Amino acid sequence: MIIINNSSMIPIYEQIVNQVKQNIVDGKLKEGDVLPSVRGLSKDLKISALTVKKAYDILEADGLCRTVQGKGSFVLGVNPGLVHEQRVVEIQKNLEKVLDKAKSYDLSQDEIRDLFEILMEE
Amino acid sequence: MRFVKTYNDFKLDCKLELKPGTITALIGRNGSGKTTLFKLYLGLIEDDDKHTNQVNKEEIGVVWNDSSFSLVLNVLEIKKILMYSYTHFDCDYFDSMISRFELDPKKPLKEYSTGMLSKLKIIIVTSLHAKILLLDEPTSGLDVIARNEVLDLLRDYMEQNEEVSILISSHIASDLEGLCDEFYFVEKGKIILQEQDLESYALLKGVDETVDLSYALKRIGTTYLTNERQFYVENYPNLVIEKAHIDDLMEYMIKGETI
Repeated sequence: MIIINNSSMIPIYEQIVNQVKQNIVDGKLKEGDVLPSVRGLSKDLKISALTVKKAYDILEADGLCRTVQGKGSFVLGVNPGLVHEQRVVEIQKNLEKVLDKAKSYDLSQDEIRDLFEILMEE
Repeated sequence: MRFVKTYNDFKLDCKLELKPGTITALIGRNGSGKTTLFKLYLGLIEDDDKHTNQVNKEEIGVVWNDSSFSLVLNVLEIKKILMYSYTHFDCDYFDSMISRFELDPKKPLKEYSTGMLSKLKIIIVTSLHAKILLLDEPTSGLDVIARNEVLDLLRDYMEQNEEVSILISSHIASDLEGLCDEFYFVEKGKIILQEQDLESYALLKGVDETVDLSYALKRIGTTYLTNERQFYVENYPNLVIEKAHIDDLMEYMIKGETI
């Protein structure tokens, strides 16, 4: 089941992508399972069909599902290691952003390291 | 397709394209030209070049805001008329929808509420197996519950008929937010905005001189409208960023000061 938070600043297509990914990682969606049709999901979630399409396109580009014209979108088998790797890349990107910002604020490397350690201990 | 029509002090000049499998919204104030555009599309009126648009009437279903069957008729009688008039009329679907919406088939329409009449019109138009539906303010005058029931009916119809295109107009824009795939904003006969992705719009509050306003479109007072929400979400954690709804877009596009 997919839950959309309409007041979240995370774009809706991203919320769908994240939740489908999570369902695959958790084993709730298995290889060969069919995702709801674009119109079907758009109806259930009361969102535009193009938003759903965008989410499915991203899932397809990420190699997590495949769309067969007229038949629907199928979940592909995923290697759990791959999922982990993707997450590491995502976190890395976020950290890079934070570091860029810290540099633009003239924070020293030691200050950043200290902050990081404090947060890690929490 | 481009439609141009001049009345005395009003000129409509709009490009409009309906794509199969999509629901297109026409949003504008009263008198902005929505109904004129419908009439031009249907070939009911001539454009400025004395040309009337040619459409296959069997393929198009239309609901006018103020139209209705004679109020002395009941649903059973209307069904008979439709069966004789339309070759593609889907009787089983019609019956199932009448019972789903608990409309009394034997009651004359004059005893129906506004909500019931609107539902009936949508049921009729979706029973004709039309490829294109033009719905002029189909939800106006309805309460929230009835409005959502009508919109759900349209969602079901789109799910079951993937090649259909729907053009729907409303001045209650929030109705259309979770329904439509493409949005045309009309003002004084012109398309002032055509957009698929409303999620990229946001309202920015608490803007000071450190904020880069290259991606701001319009301003009303101290609030700015942007179509690059993610840019501001990622770069300005202290800015108050709110989702821009269709009504906001309308207001800012029409009344806002251009940045």
